[in-house]
Amino acid sequence: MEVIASEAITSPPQVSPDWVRLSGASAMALRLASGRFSRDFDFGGINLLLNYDEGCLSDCAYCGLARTRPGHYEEKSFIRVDWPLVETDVLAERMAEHKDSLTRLCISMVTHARAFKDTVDITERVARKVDTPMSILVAPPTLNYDRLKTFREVGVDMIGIGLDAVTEELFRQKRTDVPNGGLKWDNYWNVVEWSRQLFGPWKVNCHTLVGLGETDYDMAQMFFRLKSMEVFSYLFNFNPEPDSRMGHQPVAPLTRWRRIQLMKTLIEEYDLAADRLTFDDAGALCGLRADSPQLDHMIRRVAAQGTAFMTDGCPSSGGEPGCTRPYGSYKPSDPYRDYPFQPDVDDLAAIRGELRLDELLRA
Amino acid sequence: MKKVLAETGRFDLRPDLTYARKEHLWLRIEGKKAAIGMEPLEIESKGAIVVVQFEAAGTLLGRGDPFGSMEAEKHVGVLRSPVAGRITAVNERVQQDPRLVARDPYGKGWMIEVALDDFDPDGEDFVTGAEAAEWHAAEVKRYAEEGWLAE
Repeated sequence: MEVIASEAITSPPQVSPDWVRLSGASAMALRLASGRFSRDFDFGGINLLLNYDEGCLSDCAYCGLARTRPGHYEEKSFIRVDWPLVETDVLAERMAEHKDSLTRLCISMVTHARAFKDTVDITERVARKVDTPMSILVAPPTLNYDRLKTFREVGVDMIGIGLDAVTEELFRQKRTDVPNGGLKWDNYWNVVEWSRQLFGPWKVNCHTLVGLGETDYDMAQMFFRLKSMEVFSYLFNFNPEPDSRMGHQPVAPLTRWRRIQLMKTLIEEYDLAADRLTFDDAGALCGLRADSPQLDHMIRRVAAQGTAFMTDGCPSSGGEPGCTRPYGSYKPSDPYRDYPFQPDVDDLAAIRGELRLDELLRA
Repeated sequence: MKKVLAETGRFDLRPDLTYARKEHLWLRIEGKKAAIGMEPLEIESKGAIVVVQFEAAGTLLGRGDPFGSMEAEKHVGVLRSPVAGRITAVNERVQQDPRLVARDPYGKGWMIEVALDDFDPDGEDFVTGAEAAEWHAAEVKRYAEEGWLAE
């Protein structure tokens, strides 16, 4: 009997650009996986993630994909959930079938030598099938000005930078001076500035993570810095990945999280001045100085509308929230951290209790 | 490496079991006792199950009362009892390994056992045999239309 060489029956590696991972919610939206959300709402924000056998070469202390986190890369969770793997061309076909319900597509790069080339390849394959607006969450160590320009040329309209840590010191602690770290704060800011030049105002966003050890004052400083550049800050809630080096660190208290959501919206969208914010000696937000009835009314109105507490994400072609990442950084059994839909009356009542706005306005 | 589930597959129905239409649970009735578990269509529609918790043995249940909760990656919900009675046993293995519910829904994935009060298996809330198959086929169609099933 003829013996088949073991090489002949070994499957080819399922890596990018021919394969890509997608979020659990995206797999559900495209009917590639079964499942449902706790509440009924429209969802069309598709998030993809490059996949390599070696995984991401960075080692950020809080990330599920960190190199030194135990386990094989393909079994690692990212923002706490599994990201199923699918063939890129199958995915593009499926996107075409569901194009009417898609609101935003995003490809998350990882730090890998092939990441740029493969991201361009995947972008082009997808763009041939659908015209849904497309973002890239970039890996700055793999990029330069010309490569960002290439993203623009292949149809990407928004760039995200996963800064995550909002101070240079915190960035160094969590992303540079770690076992296989080495990410550079300056490199990240170069990419922010190049992206801003190439893509224009309010077409670039920085992910800012609450719960890594920063103060509310640090968050506010970052919001003002990004606003001055006409760059969005997209808030993310740190939620520990089991077995990661920060796996036992608690999440930010809900009241703190709500107040930061409100503070960011007031700064970014309502031009709240820095001298309206007061902080205690530990850097915690302790007051909103609304010394005119108009300002007091405006702050209360923003808090009552609820949009400040919705998910930050790139918009749809119509300007509505396009990337809403349901249950992305909290469990379905937890209170909503960011709402993937407009909060309803009951949600707004819960938010009021969590925010305790009167305490801030009285201080 | 894991692949995305590309098709929904077939959903197994057992002719010897009674199905609760509203709760999508199965009941294996023996005298005045019933073992209760979740039927495969409902399990599939939840997505990956990550936490299952039950009320303690000894808990008295009315029809529709919560007997536990189930959390999946993107969904959380209360498990409601289709029958009145008293919980006599809970499946600890499922609480420790929630994905057992999906791996072996009619076997090791059972949920609770109940000592029944005044149970009427012929009531309109319950189906079995050919009637169960007809009901289930309609439910598969409905779940697909809701978008809860992979295609």
